[in-house]
This record gives sequence, C-alpha cells and structure tokens, in this order.
Amino acid sequence: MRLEELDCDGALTDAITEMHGDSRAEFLRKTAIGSGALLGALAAPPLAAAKVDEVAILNYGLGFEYLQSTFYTEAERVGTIARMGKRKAAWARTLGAHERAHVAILEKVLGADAVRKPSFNFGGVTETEGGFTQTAVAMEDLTVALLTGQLPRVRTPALVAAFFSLLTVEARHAAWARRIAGVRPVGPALDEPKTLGQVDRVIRSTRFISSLLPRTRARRSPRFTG
Amino acid sequence: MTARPQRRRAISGAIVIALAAGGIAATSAILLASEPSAPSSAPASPARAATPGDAEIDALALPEPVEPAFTPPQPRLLRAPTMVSAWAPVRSAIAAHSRPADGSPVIATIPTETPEETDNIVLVLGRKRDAAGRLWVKVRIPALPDNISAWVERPALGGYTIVDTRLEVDLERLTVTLYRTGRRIFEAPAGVGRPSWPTPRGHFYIRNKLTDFASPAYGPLAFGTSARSSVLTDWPGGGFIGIHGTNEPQLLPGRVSHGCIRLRNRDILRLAELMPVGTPVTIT
Amino acid sequence: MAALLRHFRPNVVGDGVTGISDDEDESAMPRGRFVGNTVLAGAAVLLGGAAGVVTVESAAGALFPRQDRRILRFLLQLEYLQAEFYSAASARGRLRGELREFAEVVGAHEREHVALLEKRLGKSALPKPTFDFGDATDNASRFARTARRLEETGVAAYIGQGANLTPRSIVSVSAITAVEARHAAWIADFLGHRPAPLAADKARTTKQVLAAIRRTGFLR
Repeated sequence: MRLEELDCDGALTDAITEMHGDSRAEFLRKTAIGSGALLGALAAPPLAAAKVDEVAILNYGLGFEYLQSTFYTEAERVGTIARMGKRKAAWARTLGAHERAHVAILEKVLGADAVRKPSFNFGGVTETEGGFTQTAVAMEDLTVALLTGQLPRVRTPALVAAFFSLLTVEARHAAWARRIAGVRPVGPALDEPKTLGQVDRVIRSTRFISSLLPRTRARRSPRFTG
Repeated sequence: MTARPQRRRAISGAIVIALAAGGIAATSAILLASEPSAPSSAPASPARAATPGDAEIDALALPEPVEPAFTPPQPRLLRAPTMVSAWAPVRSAIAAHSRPADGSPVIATIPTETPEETDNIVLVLGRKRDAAGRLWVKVRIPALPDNISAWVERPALGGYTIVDTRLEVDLERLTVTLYRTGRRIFEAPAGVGRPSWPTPRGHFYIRNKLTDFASPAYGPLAFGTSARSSVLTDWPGGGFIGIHGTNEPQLLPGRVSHGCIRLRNRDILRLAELMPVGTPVTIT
Repeated sequence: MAALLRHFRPNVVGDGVTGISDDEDESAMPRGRFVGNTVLAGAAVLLGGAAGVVTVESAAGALFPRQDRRILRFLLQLEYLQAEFYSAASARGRLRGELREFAEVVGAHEREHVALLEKRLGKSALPKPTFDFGDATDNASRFARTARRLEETGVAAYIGQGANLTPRSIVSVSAITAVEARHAAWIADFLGHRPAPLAADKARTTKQVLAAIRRTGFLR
C-alpha cells in the first residue's frame, strides 16, 4: 500500500514532512510502504521533540480501530460468533460494538483529514473460534501498548483526557479477552508501551492489511451473451 | 461488627471544621491529613509526617478533570447478520474441490481474472477445517454447470467484503427486484432470454461492473454475473450472463435476449447506485 | 497469525516503563508550547486550537511541576489504600483459587505502583494513612466486592487527573492506569458484572473519589 492510498488529502504527508523534513516525505512518497503496514514510516519522536502532530496520532489510532472493528464485525457477519457459547459471544459482540463506536468518533473528529479505511484480509482468523480468540487477545494487548506509547506524546489536554478514557476501555477489553481465553488477565505491574513503529511492525507481520484493493470494475465493452 | 460506623463518626475537630468549608478542600483534607502510618508488613513509607500546611495546599490545588475532546457515541450491537453475504477475490488460480479435502475431485480451476480483466471473485458460503486443521471455504464459483459450489483453501482467497443486498430475477413475472437487509428497495421490468437461449435459473452473484463503453445494445453500463448460458457455451468470453441496459426498451418486459437480463437504461443506472459487486443473485 | 501472537506471551514480566527515576525534570515542558501542527479546520475546533496551559512553578528548586506533585501525592494515597487492602487480604488467608491469585498478583502490582510513585515523589510523598478494613477481608464475597469498588474508583481517579499531568508524569501514569483498568475488568468479570460497560470510561473528580473512599469506612 502506498502512502498516497492512505493519505487522501496530504495531511499525513505533511505530518511526516514536519517531523522528519522534506527529503523524508519525498522518500516515503516514492516508496511502497510494503504490504501490510498501516503507516510504516511513522516513528515516534522522543518526548522532548519539537513538533508532535496530533492529527497523525489520531489517524494512526483510526487505522488501528478500523482493523479492530472490521475484525470483530467480520467474525460476527460470517457466523463465527453465533457459534460461540453465550458468555463468549457477548464478549465478542460488545468489543465489536465498542470498536465501531471508536471508529465513528475518530472519523467524526478527523473529518476530511481521516485516513481511508484500508482493505483487510484476515486469512481465516475471523472464521474459527480459536483463531478469533487468540487474535483478539493479541490485538487488544497491542492496542494497550499503542495507547500507553502515544499518550505521553499528546499535547492538547482535552485530547489526553479522551485518550485516557479510551486507554482504560482497551485495557478492560484486553483483560476480559484474556480471561475468556483462560489466561491471566494481567501481565506486569506496568503495561509496556510500544512506539508507532513497533506496533506497525507487528501489524505488518500479521498480513491483515491487503496491499491491493480488488478491481471489480472496468471500462470495457461487455461480451456477455446479450 | 459494629466498629465501622463508630469509626466514621470519630472524626477529629479539625477535619469537621474543614468539612464546613465544603468542596474539594474538605474531602481532600480527610484523606491527606491522616495520622502517620503505624508500622505494618507493607513496604515502609516516608518518615516525614504530614503537616496541615501540606494537606491544605494539596487539597486546595487539585484541579478538576479536563473535559475530553471527544466522546464515542452509544455503542450498538449489529442487527442480526442473517441478511448478509460475503465475497472474496481469488488470489491465485485455484483448484476448486468437491469436498474440503485435497484428495477430493477437482470440479473446476478458478482463474484470477475474469474475461473482462477484472479480479475474479467468489461468493463465500461456509467453511470447514479438514483433518489436518487447514481451513477450507465453500464458495459459489463461476463455472458450469450453473449453481455450482465447491471448496477452496482459505489462503487462495483475499479479504472478505460483506454485502447486505440481494437481487431476485423472476423469469415468470419478468421483474428484477433488489433487497437490502430484507427490505425491497428497487424493482424494474426486465427482458430475459428467449426460450431457445434461456436465462439460467439458480443462485449466482454479481462479478463485475463495466462502464464507459460504446455498445448501445448494452446501454450505459453492464453487470457481469457468475451465471453462464448452458447453450451458448462457445460464446466468446465464456457465455456469461450480464445485467445491462438496452437500446430497445420497447421490447421490455419480454423474452427477448440471448440469456442476459435487460433493463431500461434509467433502471440500470438506478440499480447501479444501489447494488454493489458481490451481491447474490437468485434467478427463478 | 502466528507472527502476531509471538509478540504477546502472557505474564511476561516486563522491564517497566523507562524514564522515571530522579526528580530532576528539565524536560517537563509547559503543554502550551507544543500545539499540533497540521491541524486543519475541522480537527482544530474539536481538539481546541489553543491548548490549555499547565501551571509550572518557577520557584527555584522546584524539581518537577508542583501540580504534578500534588496529583501524584493524591494518586499515591489511593495506591496505598489498594496495596494495604490486598496485603491485609492475603495475610488474613481467607481466599482460595482465583480470588487468592487476584489478591496476590494485583497486590504485587499495587505495591509496585506505590514504590514507583514514592520514588518519583521522594521527600514530597505524604505518609501512608492508617487503614482498618474491618470485615472486608473476612470472606471471598466481601473481598471481591470491595476490590471492585477500589479498582473502579482508582480507574476513575486516574482518568480524572491524567490529563492534568505533564508528559513526563504521563509516561508512568498511563502504564499504571492501563493495569488498574485490567484489575477492574478482571474482578468485574469474576463477579459476573460487565468488565467493560462503556465505550469510553468516565473521569471522577477528586471530590467524588474521596467521597467514595470515605464511604468505605477504611480510613482511620
């Protein structure tokens, strides 16, 4: 997926330019990010760096929420959740509802600056109960790592407040998912943060993000039977 | 058992006065102006005792929470997913088997492209794991005989797209009707195949959408389906049935075509606004 | 799928969050200095184009912002309450099975949170209050319900004050907050309550938090 495909109006490219300078943005423009990265090139600058682009942070969050909401929604649509026991199904449906609500508000906040929703290929993990559960646990833990990593970078207090409210919900999701999976709901005393780059490497390794949108339209004459 | 309520009432005079002042100061003071801790099994706390000065400074200065920049809307569960279907592109040319097992007969080989050079897609009907734990997907495929479904391994398909519409073509009433989550949202008169070139009956799906061409016989745009004529098997491009416009609207409704489903041009344009590729099609 | 899961082995003891050791905090910049840059019109309105300014004491010798210090002192008091409660429950010995594990594991977390905040505050920390937990550790049911109250109160307190902190404090506080939320979800699920009742959790004011603490009756 190329940067341009994510960056409808250049907001993201602007953000990278500001953080890393023109030459970096040009480099990224010319490079295919590689299949499966959400925003492969954005690395988190250190705390005291000069400029933090909150729109870029929100957009990465939106991309991540697209991933999660599509994961849960697809699992429900293809019937995997309906086959689960009642308690587990309630868990899965609730998490899907929350992630869809997160997508809705981030889309609204970002408006025209919002990244386009990527194409996903979950390769079967939305279609089996075991694959779904394991992936959900991993993804929720990753969300917590993403948010704990990004929170200190945000400068607008109202945005920090909103992020704290989301962080605790994703951490609840993670603990709940683990307990559903039969695993201890907590890890260490402090949830370990990850940088955008680290999170993105994990996402890339899943290959959930499709590098190509299916082409189902063409400008050609039909040769149907008529 | 009775001790706890007693303790609540045993509040020092200083704190009662602080309470009268109201607000954050009072309630903070209760917590922060407590006695130094007694030795306990817990980790040692700082040795310096709290002074009233510290407590008041702290209590008065703790700020209110910051109002969050945004709050998500009320979360909503999905409506029952019984009115949706899923389609997937074909990633690599695959052998479609009669059963979810490598050793079962190959029914057809599904190419990655349609004759119109769009990505070939299949309708996803179900899934099953084989004995080795590999995931197989039951799919509707664009092959003869019509109505055929087969099994392919999951990695051969791309990501799923969910579709909540379905199209019904009634060869008796000569109508085309579109439903979305079970509600009828479009209906139009149709031309269908003549008796000698019948439109096939059964379950199919929309495979692609063609536009910007100059073939008036097809109208302004055409949908390709997975349905194939069982009589025009030598037709260039495979004899696929399309749903398209016409330059002979006066013939509609009627049994007039070589198998395709014809709509008036204004109807095909309207249908194109409502019906995505991948929509299942039932022809009865 | 395997690639994703390799990164997440449950119960790995992490190294903890970097960057908080001494009180010297030159990088605690006032928030107003760094406003998001390519904030286009729509986003700017919602994000609040003029970022709120955090008070930074300029008194000589102020080693980190005074407000951060006040907030962390407050949060430390809550962690003391939780840590002591779990220690008392474990010592009381009335718990079995998952609740016993909860008290031990979560208690260890809270004690680590206490240590982190004490270290951060140094001499600024207020002493630990004396608590009397009465019959709250008598049996599984009382313990579990009490734990849930304490954890939910803690989560709401952290959300309430998190955005008032400078980024340097947020590094550790966000990591603590996430774990507190995990605690809350764990005990809620154990009790059959909804582990995640909302799409976004609510803040509580210090007044509300302290009122909740007072209602427990645990403070001497």
